[in-house]
Amino acid sequence: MATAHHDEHPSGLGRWLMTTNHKDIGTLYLLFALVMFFVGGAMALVIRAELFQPGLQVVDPHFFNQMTTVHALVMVFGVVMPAFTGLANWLIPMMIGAPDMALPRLNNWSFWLLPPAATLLIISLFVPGGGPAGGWTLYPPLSVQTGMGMDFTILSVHLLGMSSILGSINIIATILNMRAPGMTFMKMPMFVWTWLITAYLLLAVMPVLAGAVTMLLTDRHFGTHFFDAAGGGDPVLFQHVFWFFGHPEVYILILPAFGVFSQIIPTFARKPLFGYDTMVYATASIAFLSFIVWAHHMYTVGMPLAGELFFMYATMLIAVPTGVKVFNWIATMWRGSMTFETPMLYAVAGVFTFTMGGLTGLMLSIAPADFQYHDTYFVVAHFHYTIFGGSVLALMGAAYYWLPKWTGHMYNERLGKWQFWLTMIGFHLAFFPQHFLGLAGMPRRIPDYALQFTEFNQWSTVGAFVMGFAQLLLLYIVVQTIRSGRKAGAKVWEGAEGLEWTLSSPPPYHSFAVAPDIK
Amino acid sequence: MTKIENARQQRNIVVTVAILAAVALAFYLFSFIQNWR
Repeated sequence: MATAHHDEHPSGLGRWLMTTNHKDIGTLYLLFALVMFFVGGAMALVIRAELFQPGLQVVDPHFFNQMTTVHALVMVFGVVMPAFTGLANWLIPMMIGAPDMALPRLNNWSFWLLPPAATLLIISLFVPGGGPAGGWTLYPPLSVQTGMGMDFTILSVHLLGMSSILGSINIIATILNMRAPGMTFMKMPMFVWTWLITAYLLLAVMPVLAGAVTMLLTDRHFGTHFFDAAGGGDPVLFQHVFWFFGHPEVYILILPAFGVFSQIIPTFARKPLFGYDTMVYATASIAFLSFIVWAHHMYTVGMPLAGELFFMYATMLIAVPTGVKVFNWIATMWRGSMTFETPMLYAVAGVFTFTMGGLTGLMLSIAPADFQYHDTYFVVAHFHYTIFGGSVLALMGAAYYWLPKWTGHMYNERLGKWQFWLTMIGFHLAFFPQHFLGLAGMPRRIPDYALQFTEFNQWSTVGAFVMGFAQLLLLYIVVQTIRSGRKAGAKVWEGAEGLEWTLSSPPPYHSFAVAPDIK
Repeated sequence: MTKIENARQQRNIVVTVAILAAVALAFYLFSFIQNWR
């Protein structure tokens, strides 16, 4: 609040455990996400190592299934969501001219729920019966029948959900109540807009996931039959409840990425964002549509034809606002004075790669065609193009874009470009062949496959290891930037606009104790 | 920021949080109710 103490700058372990400072908490979220990125990445490499050739050679099938499940849970809940929350913590107060988040103590708690949740999820792999192995969707009856690792997972998901709900309440309360005088809604940076809308999505759907896993828990231990056909329940109901959460969830992962693209592209095109208003309305439209498309994940369960048609057409509609955004980014670049520093490379690549994933999404939305693609590697290729190609590329772009602001040091541009190109080559080598594997009929979530799939799988594995290596380079660049590097000025990028660039690099521990003037 | 503005902002934050918490709780309960038959 306005009475912040400027001289207060705690140090040591206590600073991080008890901090209520949005910048410290943002850093904690980002570091947590980086650590989990390597944990989830190691699991991905176990998967790809096993799939390098047909037959079983590296791990046993049950452990393989645990790897596919926990890799997904870690990457969704432990990497992409916390990383974007870290960006939100660092940037939203600085972008709207607020001294901190509206609820700083709640903010601390939101973060510190995450390490115990992650610990529960990881140690589930080491309890009798192993970790969850039925896929990240936790479908019954498998998830009701497996060992105590599933209970660890359920508790972990509850904690992760609590953290997200509290975080989203905090973000909405901050944006609605803490904007500097003159910072009207339609003057807010796009990143703030996308996070406001994302926070509403989180608030509506994380409780539904919590409800779904609570019911799993009571089915497992307390004699209920929500999802047990023998007791009058229905396993398909879990799928409906899960995907009522799950589809908005994928937009929770991508909307803040759209916000990041909308910050980076105007900076390096040296032009204002084209179609700001339409960007806001498109984001809100995508968020609204995300609530009425969930059953496109379950076309094959046997829905009435009217249901299939409704969910098919509703899903196709999403291409319209998404197309608006893509055209706006292209129009922003049109005739701009463009330069391609690492953040811009990531933003342009992210828009392109996400659009590829969006187009395969449109293919999957066609119900009759989906009967062929369903549960094949085509789906795996599709969602890695959107989540890695959209969200993670945006996160890396964001890291390079704001790292000089956060640390006060410039990163090494040459190494940044190397890291970008290695990541992109590895990524496309890993995931592009998976489209063909899926179309040819290779199912997802299997540790072994028929001989004819060998070659594409070998390319994919090589690509995955190149990608993994590139992330070690990312780690090196981040550490190097924190410890040394050329001093960065307040306005790190020539074309950057926004309140965060009016603050020094790194910004003072308490910024905007006096609200800035908004032109 | 004056004392009155500060108090008003605090009150608005409390009201926002109360409404949002109620919405989250409603969605949690909603996920059970649609199954209860």
